[in-house]
Amino acid sequence: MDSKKEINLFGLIFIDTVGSVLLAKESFYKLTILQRMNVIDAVVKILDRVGDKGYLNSCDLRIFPIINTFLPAFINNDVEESLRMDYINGNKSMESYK
Amino acid sequence: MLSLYCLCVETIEEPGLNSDLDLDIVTDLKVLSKCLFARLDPSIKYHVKRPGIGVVQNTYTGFDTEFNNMDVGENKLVSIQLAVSTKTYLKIPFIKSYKISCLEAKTNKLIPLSRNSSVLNYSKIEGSIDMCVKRIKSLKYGKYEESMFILNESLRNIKGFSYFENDDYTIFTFPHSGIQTYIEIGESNSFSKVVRISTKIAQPSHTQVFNVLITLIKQICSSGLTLENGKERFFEQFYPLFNEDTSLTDLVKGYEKELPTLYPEDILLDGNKAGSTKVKCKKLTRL
Repeated sequence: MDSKKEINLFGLIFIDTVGSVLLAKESFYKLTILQRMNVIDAVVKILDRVGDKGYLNSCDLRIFPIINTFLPAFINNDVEESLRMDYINGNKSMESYK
Repeated sequence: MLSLYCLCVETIEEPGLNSDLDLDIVTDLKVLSKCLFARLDPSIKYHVKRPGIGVVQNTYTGFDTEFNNMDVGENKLVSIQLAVSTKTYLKIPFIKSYKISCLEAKTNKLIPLSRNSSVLNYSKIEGSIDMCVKRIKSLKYGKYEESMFILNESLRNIKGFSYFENDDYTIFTFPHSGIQTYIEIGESNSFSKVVRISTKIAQPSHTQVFNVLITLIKQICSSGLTLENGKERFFEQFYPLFNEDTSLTDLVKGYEKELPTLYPEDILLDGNKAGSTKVKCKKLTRL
């Protein structure tokens, strides 16, 4: 079983291992400083759009960009599907969002 | 957000960035980094900050007076007696790994949050945040954390330094200084003057302990101790110091328990004798 996955966010590669999800240094050293600033700006704008009302207008976290990319990495796969869905699209999704 | 902040810090600390050509970009990056830091969760900000060393120097004053009973309801002051001693506490921060928590605004303390879900992988969340925090700290503060750890371990190994731990610090307590007694005979005295006198009496002891402590901390930090070779080198370098008759041994073993009594003519408050009334108010010596 491959325990290492890659998550790509605007050219930045995050390495998802068993114990952590971390930004791979090589992926951002490849970018110029301006590109890095653009990526940061883009991510911040998207996250601002998600939370600008002060609350989430849907409990389905799969519709929110970036959050839907990273959420699966922090959810255990070895639990019942209904429990998992509670944390993705259910009454526990606020807990996951926090 | 924390990863983005880490990326920002990494870019700012990148060698060769601070050339004139990049000045605008560096400024933009610094602004961006401040914005990102402001968006971080307070519990993460708490871990990213660099805690400093603290020295607390307390003055303890025992106070007594003698009176002559002149009439019913009338007493005449004969003398005041003081017994002054000092004690110093050294607070060294210890570095803890990140745990999911919230920061209580009132006390500025971290309150651990419940993490009993079988679905969310809290240890992975904590691990990711902790590694990011460690990376940011090593970029911003270099080997500061390692130095604090070495200092902490070194001081624990010195016989005579007692210590206890609270949430964020190891607090080393040093023995009480000797008791300095003081007698002043006179018909009137004010409480603020008594405070000034005890502060004045305690000052030399505070200064001496502070200087010895700073010298000791500087010696430990500049002696090239590392996590690998630290203990043996520490014993080689620092143990002889405590076996010789030095101010360090005084600090560890304590001072003479009682010192000769002082009188007003022995104490100068801002250039005036303690018995004089023209004295300015001074703050208690407390760091």
